[in-house]
Amino acid sequence: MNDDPRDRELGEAYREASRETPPADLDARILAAAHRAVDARPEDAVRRPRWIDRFRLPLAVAATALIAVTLSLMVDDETRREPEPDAPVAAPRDDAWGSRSAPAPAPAASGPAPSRERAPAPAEARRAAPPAEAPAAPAAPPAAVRDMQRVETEAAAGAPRATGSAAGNAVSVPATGAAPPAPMAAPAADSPPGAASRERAAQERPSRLTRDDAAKAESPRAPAAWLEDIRRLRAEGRLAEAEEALAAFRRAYPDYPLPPDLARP
Amino acid sequence: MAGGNADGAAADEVLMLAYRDGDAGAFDRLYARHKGPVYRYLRRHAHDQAEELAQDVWMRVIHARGGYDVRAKFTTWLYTIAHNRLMDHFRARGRETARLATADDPEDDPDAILEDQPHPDPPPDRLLERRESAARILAALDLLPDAQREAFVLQQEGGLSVEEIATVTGVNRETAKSRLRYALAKLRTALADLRQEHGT
Repeated sequence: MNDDPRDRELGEAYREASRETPPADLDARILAAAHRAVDARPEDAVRRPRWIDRFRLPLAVAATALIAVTLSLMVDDETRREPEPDAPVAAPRDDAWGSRSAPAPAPAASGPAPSRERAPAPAEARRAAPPAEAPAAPAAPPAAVRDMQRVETEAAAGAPRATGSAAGNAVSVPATGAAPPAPMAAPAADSPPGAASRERAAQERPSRLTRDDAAKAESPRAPAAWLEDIRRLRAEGRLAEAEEALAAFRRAYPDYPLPPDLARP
Repeated sequence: MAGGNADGAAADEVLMLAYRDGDAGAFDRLYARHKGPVYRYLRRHAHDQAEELAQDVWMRVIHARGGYDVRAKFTTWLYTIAHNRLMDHFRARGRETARLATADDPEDDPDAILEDQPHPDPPPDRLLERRESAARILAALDLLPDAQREAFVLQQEGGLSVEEIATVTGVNRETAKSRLRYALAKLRTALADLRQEHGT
């Protein structure tokens, strides 16, 4: 401080010359702003009660925890339900994919076929039905008798999805070797176009399946392929053989609606 | 000057703390004490913009009251705010931002200039006729580089030491001291004829 450059005379001369002051209106503005700033404080305090500030964080934490617990419970519930819809979804697929899939062997292995088919229906009918219907819907047109080729086409298109479950099933029941009868369930149940007929078919399923199971022994092939063979026999003029094959087909698949061209003698 | 009385420096901080705690009257006293020096400090650099800048400076003081704590002399804090506002002003006007910070005159050797001047502190009654020389002094001040003028004005208006000038302007002590010496030397040179006229 002592060695600060300083010129006393210059300083005095400067201060003598430098006497400007801010205008009065500027003073008034600044002082008013300063007072307003102080006055605003208590108003803020009144507007914002302290207990809210004190409990804001705990309330937020509690609300977040409540939401988290609720969500986790919901997710847990959903997780528990998840495997059930899968079963009925797989079942119609297997049915639709007929001879290549393995669900059919299950009834054969367990003995009473209806019990296996009923499994999805009674107990979890309410939950299983909607998912089962969804995949079954695309299977309905293929089952339509008029266009058997479409069945094949759509079956081929759905292959990637179905192969997973089919493969899984095949692994689980490889020894039964009774794959072919499986398609019977699907076509039989899905053959009637429309929801009402489909429902009816579902109700009748147990009895039909019993008959279908009985015919399993003599139904070595899928109906579509079988019918195609019959067509070929007719086309080749081997009518007697065609009639025999058709008769055998009717025995094996009594409820299977025949295509118009084959229905004619 | 800065405090306006013997315990002004301490009282400034006390007043500001009181204002922080809700005493509006403390601000009134603080403002009355410093409004002139701050206004003139700004006027020496921004001339007709001084009023607007002064309002901004004091508004910043008002807004900063909540976080005010005594970490330095009040005037150091106050003039730091003013200096920063001045720099903002120069930036906004496209003026070289470094002007206040680095506008020394390296070609001039303040010691040489000072040596050229006898400045033997002649008696006050023989120095300057203050009324007549006021305009000359302000004109000479206006011719100084901004940084040197700022150092001189901070010393005279704010009552700041070299150390405090360095803090306010963001330079080291030696730079601040050098600027002050340049300013004094040039002012003496510019006002030499007045000294001669009134001193001899």
